[in-house]
Amino acid sequence: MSGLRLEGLVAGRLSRSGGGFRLPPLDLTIEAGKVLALIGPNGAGKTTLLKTLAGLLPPLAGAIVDTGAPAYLPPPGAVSAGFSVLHLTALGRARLRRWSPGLTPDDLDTARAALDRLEVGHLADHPFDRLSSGQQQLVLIARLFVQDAPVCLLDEPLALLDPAHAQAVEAAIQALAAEGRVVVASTHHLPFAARADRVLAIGPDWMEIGTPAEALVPDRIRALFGVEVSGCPCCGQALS
Amino acid sequence: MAANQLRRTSMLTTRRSALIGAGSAMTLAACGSRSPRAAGDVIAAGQPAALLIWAVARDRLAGWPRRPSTGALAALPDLAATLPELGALGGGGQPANLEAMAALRPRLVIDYGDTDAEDHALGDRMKTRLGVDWRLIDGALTKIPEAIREAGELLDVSRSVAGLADEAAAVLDRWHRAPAGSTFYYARGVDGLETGFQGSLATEAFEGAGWTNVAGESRDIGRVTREQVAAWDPEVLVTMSPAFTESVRHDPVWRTRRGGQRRRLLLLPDHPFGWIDRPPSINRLLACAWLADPEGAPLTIAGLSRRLYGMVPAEVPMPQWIR
Amino acid sequence: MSRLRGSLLPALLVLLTLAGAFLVLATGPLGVTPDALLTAVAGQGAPEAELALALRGPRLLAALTCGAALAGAGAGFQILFRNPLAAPDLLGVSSGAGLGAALALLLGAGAALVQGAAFAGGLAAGTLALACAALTRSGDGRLALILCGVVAGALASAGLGLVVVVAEPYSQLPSITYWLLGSFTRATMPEAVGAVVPVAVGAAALIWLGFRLDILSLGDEQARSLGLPARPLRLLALAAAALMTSSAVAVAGVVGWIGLLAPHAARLIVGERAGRLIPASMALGGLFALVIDRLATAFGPAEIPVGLLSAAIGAPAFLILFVATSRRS
Repeated sequence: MSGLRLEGLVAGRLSRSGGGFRLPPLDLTIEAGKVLALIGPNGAGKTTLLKTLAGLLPPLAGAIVDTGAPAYLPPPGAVSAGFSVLHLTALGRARLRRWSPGLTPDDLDTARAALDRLEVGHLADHPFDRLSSGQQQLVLIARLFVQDAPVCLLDEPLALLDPAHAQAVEAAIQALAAEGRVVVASTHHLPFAARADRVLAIGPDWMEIGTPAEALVPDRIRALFGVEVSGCPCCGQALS
Repeated sequence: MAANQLRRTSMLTTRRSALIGAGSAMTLAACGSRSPRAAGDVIAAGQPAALLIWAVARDRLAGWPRRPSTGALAALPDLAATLPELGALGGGGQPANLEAMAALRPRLVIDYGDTDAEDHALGDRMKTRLGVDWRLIDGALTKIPEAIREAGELLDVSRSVAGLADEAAAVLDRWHRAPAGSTFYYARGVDGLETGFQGSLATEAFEGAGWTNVAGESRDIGRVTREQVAAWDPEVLVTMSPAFTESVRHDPVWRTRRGGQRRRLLLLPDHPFGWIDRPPSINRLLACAWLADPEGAPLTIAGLSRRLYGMVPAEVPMPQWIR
Repeated sequence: MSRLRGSLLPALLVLLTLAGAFLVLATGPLGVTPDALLTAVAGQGAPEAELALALRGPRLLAALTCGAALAGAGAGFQILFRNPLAAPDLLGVSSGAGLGAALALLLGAGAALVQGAAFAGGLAAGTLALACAALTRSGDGRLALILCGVVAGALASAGLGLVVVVAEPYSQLPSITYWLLGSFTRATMPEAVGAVVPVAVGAAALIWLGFRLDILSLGDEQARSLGLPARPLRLLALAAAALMTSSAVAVAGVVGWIGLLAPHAARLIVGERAGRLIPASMALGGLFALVIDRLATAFGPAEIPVGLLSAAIGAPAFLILFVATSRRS
């Protein structure tokens, strides 16, 4: 696990009618085991950047130095499946099963272990669609563990979650990073950003990277969101 | 999907009439400037009627409801090929078709076939729409001589058809008195799994001559399985399809009977028109003549073919027993 | 409990299929006793028993193949498109096959050629739908596929309508109509075996795809994120389903509702995972086909087209299933 390096990466979308947008070029290196939080107003391009890092969208310029296959997690509610939680988690091993006709019992065991680790093992045989948002999110992060990708890209992983599940998900994200992966997560939940290792702020036409202490001072936040905040805008916790 | 197919089948005639009628109307309009030949002024409501009119007074036929195949046209006099295709008038006429017909200024429409109340009602409707006299003649096999005479009267050729009517009556008489024949199965279509059950129009010629149709317990035309045919164990397979003949002549499933003997295979001619079917009209007389007297038949059949169709005697096809 | 079900169920399905097969082989108008039939299977039977076997064998094979193929293709489509109403005719394959057969019958071709033409027609319609959908490049293309499939099917149906209008009413038209309404009895052994091969290939592909189909059903983004080449695999799945459907229609005509009903019933028993749903659907589809095949000749010598029977039985059965499952959830 060697970390993530971007060289002059320009993420953006080009639409055929000449609209679209492009983000400023990004030169960045994140070591393995670190969490990078992406903050910015809606529509700034956080999702676009994440998808570009994931390889789902082509970059408009620049390069991502090859670090191995990334894994992308869409916002809560985007994944829907009728089969069991255990099967969905075990699907994380699909990359290893290039040619074989099915998942092995080993895959199922790995999945079960990951679910247990995040304390949702008791849901293994439930249909995924019947779970609450928080439970689904924990299952999907368990799948990220199973997938064992060196770079994990999460789009607003804490959205729509109650405080208990939000805490559990944040702990899981930290655990993902602790095992040597690079985790990039976009969020509106500023206390989470405060506990990350680095923060990348995406403004209307600028990007700034720094430590949480640098990025989350009131006038940087005012410049980013255009509003005065003393605590977290979404839950009111103090920022520190 | 199945329901759609059935609906399409029942709408067949009207749709085809519309297409053909439109085409004919345009052709006639285009040819309008040339000097018209003495066009026929009698319209046939269906192919059976067309054959009747052709036999009785072919110069009066305005057109074919369905154009005969190229092979059939080759066997008929040249006049046949010059007649336009008009479509059939069954099941509610289409405006385009009626216009094409009206453009020919017909004086009479003859329908030949079933005489149920429905067909009479259809005739009345058509009479009002076309403004032309409509006559329905009973198409039963046993009434062919009467049908010929009636058509002759309608077309003012009573004297010349008297001979044909008498000959038809004589054929039918011999046909009635034919000795009992074999058990048979009528294999219709290319795969032979469609048949006419006992009492159907298609098998009437054979049944009336003392042959026994093995297909019972149902009516008219229907599909059966090969196993059912094997269970019925007919002595003879009767078919008008050369393709079917080719595919089964060496097939033991079809050719071997229960006791191990070889089942006989009879291929009836279908040029210019089928001998027992397609269409079920006066062409069935040929089958009756042959069934009445298979040995002495060639002369009678040649004569009948000449009078019915205008065929040259040397080219008259005969039934073949396939080895 | 579910582990027990897991091992009992395949055994049960196999048993039922064998029972159904025995029923088809042992009954029929050529009243042959079962022991005579057994000696015929061994190759030393009386001529009549040999004949019965020679006639009923292809029928059994055609029914099983057609039922399994349509059910497997239907299950595949339902998983890929996340749509419980997806049927094997999604890409217009059935309509294309019907058109191919009708054209061949119009030109007076023999049975084997009609089957080949139907197979080719089905594949042509499917290819047309896939090619048109590929041109659109929108997202994961599922909507484009459905639309292009509808268009291909509509074109084929229009062509079929034209053939019906032009066909000779006394012989060609009844042949075409009966062919389209479906029958398991017209195939000879070589034709039935010829149908098995494409179905086996398609089924093998779908079963191998197994969990990959589950991933594909999550959408292209998820699939790629999990490391799968989404487009080629989806193309493989669609091609396999088209192959199976074409072959089924080519050997037996258009038999509807099996492809819709069997996956729903299978889902109730084995759940949503493709790895189990596809084989279970195929087994149930084969059984359903055996049942309607038996019924086709149970009411007198005239054969009831199996397409009509499958609709008459399948549609109400589907309704009952649907009501039962929606009550449950």
